[in-house]
Amino acid sequence: MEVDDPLSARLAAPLEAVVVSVEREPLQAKSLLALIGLALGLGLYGVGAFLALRGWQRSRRAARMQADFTAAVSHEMKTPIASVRAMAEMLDDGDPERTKRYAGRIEAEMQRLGTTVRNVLDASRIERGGLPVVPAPLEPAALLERTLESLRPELERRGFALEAELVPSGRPIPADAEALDGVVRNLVDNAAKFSVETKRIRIEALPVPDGYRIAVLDRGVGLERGKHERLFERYYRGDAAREGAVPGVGLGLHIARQVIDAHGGTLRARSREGGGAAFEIHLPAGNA
Amino acid sequence: MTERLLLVEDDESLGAVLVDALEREGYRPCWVREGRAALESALRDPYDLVVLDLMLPGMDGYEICRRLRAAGRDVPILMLTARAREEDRVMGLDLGADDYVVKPFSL
Repeated sequence: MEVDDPLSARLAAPLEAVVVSVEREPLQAKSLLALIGLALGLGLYGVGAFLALRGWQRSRRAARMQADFTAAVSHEMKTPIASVRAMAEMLDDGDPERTKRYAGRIEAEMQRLGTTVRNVLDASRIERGGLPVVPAPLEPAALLERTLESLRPELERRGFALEAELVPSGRPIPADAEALDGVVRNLVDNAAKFSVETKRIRIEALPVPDGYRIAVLDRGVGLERGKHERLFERYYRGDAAREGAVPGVGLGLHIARQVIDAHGGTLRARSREGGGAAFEIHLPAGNA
Repeated sequence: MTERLLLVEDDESLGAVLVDALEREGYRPCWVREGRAALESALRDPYDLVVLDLMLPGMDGYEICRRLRAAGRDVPILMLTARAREEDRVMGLDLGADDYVVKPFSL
């Protein structure tokens, strides 16, 4: 070992002594134990450091998501208000063609604003201890029929084909009609937002042995690999949403998941063969 | 002479009503909904004014503004945004925007 400066020399001397003694003497039980202890200590230290780092990364991620959320809510609320306000100002000349055109747009913008406000309020209720979900026996196919028919005109105006295959349950399924309606709206809205080229949304609903299954299928941009569960996190918005400046605040799927959980059911996302995403709800039959 | 104006706005309703309002005021607006297409158009065609939304698909308003100025274009740029925070405003002006309108605004 070549040693030039005194500090290195001081450090090197005991090290060399240890190396020499380890080489000379066979490992004894005592030193083996010490080594194991050292390894364990280092291991624990490593785990601690890893957890601390992960905690720090998570809190940073949470802070960034919160900031993105505030910006998104601001954008989602102010844009429809700006549109409606501008349209109101333009209506002063009484042009009948324009009045008719604006009437439809104002309604659509108010619906959009209403959805944002409802989602923000629902998410805040969830945070404070729970969305009031009161399941009562109902025929899910009939509920879906009503929800989809109310969504159809706006979707068709935007160039979407909305297909529905609704098989009645035959037996009542316990569900909160208003909350389930909100979930389906959020899922269809989500499908529409991420369908750019192929604007086809399909709803398949049918009874299964232990309950009822509802699937919302699209041929949109699809899901990011390995991030299917993150979609349901509060404020989470995928790369496609942020880079594509897709409207939304990152609450719809989070709320949908909470509502279905409160029913004792499941909501999952999966990629579809041939492209696009599928969101599948399973509602348990219960004892009704 | 009618002024040629580039409107960059991805929101369908807001874009439509702004086009109506600008036409009524005697401008000739060209409406582009996506960031990259907007930059291409602004670099290719002569405009008297660019009205630029900040949150856009493809490329955001800040980047379009920065690239236009970097390419030596001195066309006046009016930024349009839902964000009212002072630092956003300063960032836009630092990048070479001429003025800033916060949504919701009056026509």
